[in-house]
Amino acid sequence: MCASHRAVRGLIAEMSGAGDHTITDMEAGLEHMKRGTARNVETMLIVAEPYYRSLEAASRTFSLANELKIPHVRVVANKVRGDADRAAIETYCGQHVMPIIGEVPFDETFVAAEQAAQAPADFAKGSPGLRAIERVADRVMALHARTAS
Amino acid sequence: MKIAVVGKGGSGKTTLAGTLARVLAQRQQRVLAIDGDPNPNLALTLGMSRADADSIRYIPASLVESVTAPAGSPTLRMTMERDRVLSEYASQAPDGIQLIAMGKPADGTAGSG
Repeated sequence: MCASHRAVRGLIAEMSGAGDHTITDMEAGLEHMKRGTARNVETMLIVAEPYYRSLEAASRTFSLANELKIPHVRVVANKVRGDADRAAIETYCGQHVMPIIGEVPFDETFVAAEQAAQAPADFAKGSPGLRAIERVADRVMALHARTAS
Repeated sequence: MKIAVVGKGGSGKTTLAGTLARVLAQRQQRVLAIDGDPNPNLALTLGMSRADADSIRYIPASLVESVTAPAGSPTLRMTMERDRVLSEYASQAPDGIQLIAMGKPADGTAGSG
């Protein structure tokens, strides 16, 4: 790993400690993570799609996150198109003992938002996808309410 | 709370991170969003305009230096205080969100989705 890449990761770790609430969009994969890089992460959301390779990748990430002793590691099932997708994710996560914090449906409104170069939070108000992410937010806040002093 | 969002490319990771940040910020939480992806794209899903996204100042890797203690392995240390990093590099996104970005814009593909 090149020095500047390592520095960028150090910066991310350091800045995750700034302010009360931070959300970090991390690089794909966790293989690079070390204890130091993860020290300011309380909740890790692993976004997984309902197909086998995505779930396998999520499972690897889940193991690494646990090795890093991140307090809350949860799967967000994304782009769920129906009962078969939901069953695929729930079966896989059940077998691998990975807790799912929410399921976000595949939502055409999100695709349209991207085409319009707008945020789903502005463009897709009231859509099933946005409502699902609001429920994820509720649950993440509940996790932290339980662990806060 | 300190949340990290991870996932394979194309999983919708950035869309989830940006939208979740907006939802939390709308609930009166002061949110700092950090774009740590080498192909930074968080600004648009937070609701910033393309023009604002294009004017983001990326935090340079040079703000971190490697320090080696006499008997230890090297550790990384920031050369600028966090508050000053925020005041110099943070961009304003909707709902009072602050955004900082570490990634280097990828050639040709930045902002493509």
